[in-house]
Amino acid sequence: MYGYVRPAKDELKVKEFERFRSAYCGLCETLRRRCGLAARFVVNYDLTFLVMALSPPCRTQERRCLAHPVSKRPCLCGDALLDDAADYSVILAWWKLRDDLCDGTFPERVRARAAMLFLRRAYRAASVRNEAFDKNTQLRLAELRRLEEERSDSIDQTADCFAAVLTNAAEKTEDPARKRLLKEVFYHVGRCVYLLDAADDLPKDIQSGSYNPLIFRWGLTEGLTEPVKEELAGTINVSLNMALRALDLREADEWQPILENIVSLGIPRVRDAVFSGVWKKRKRKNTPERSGERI
Amino acid sequence: MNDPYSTLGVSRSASDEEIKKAYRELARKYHPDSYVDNPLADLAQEKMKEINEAYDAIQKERSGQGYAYQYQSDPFSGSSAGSYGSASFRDAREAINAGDLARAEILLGSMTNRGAEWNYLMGQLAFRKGWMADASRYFRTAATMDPTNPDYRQAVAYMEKNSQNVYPASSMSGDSDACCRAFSTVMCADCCCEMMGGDLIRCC
Repeated sequence: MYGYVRPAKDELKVKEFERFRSAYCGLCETLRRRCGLAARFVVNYDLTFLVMALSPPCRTQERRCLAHPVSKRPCLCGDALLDDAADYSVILAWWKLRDDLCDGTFPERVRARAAMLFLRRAYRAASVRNEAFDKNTQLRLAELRRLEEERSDSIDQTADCFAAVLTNAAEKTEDPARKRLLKEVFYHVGRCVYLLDAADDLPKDIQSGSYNPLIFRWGLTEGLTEPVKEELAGTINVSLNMALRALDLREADEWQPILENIVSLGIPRVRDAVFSGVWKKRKRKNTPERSGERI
Repeated sequence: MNDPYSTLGVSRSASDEEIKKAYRELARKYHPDSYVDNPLADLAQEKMKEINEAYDAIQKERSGQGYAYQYQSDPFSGSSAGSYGSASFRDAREAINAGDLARAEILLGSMTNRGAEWNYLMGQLAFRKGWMADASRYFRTAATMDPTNPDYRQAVAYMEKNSQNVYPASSMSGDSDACCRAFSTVMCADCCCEMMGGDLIRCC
């Protein structure tokens, strides 16, 4: 997906990093098993965050995989939660590709069409298994599209549509208090992702005349100015703090320090990289964002 | 109630000082001030109650004396005296506090008097919805329209504080750190003075 929700690796303890990796590997393995080999490319950091927030304590098994055939690695054991997370990943990836198909540049549209060919079967199966999540995602994205067509100048209202999509990943949580706090975490992390994506796409959107809420909110013509950066960073910080306060109420398990690292250190670093333009340069150097996040 | 020692995260053989320290850290983490007007404030309040009960139980067990702790009700929810003017503002406030945001939205949307209090309540509603940029804007407008109201200023200050930096729970032992830093600075200064033949703190 977007890859903004990642840890500050150098600030994680080694065991914490290995647990994080086991969650990522667990998601990848579940995608392969449940949705087919092509779906493996849908694995991403953003959904790994969701998996860790939702999961009970870590149970792993050693596995060998195609990308790392030399030695076995600990991989989170498959369970209903990982199954759902895999489905959510496919559904979200599908609708993002649909979005690229409408809005993207010519090469992006070609890539999207090709990727959708591979993903179609997996999407169909996932959307049947998790109909509510799929329907809700469609509804919210339709609302977002309507706001885009109206050239909305509200960054909150547009971000809300996207953030609300992610909150649905917590819908199946049984304990009502836990469900509320997880929804709050996912909402605010989702809000940050939307705003960061808007900031990242700003130069491209200004040039192509595509909709971007930041353009209409601040009347931007050339890119992020310093005062706008400050205000945008400020509102992202408020969301990060809200996510942290919600995380504080979550059980203090092994995932907790990793989740805290991601929200308090990882995402702020990504924000700084996006604002300074370093993020885009890094993306151009590496493989396309949809896959291949090196871990 | 669960085992009070495990609630505070200490062993049964922990010293009184260790227990006090654990209690202070947890109280800072779940203090109402950190969950001011937060949609999850009630969950934090439950945690706070658990922690207080655990601390009380340990105190009673160890010294046979009771200990009563009362924390301030959160300042964000308009504990400053006085009415909210018209009944409809009160209704809107109640709807927000009860989490009935749809009703609050309708009530506030139907009001024609869009002064400071209206902006403040719109800010609270936006905050609850997670619409942080709008919340900041409404609070600033309220504080500009009525600079004398402490609630409005407090709301603006709260948003500003949370905009400047990100505060993980582990960073919130501010007070003790400041004290430690002050203490070690003074001790260093005293040592320096003594090395040069003087004396800053006579007894050290």
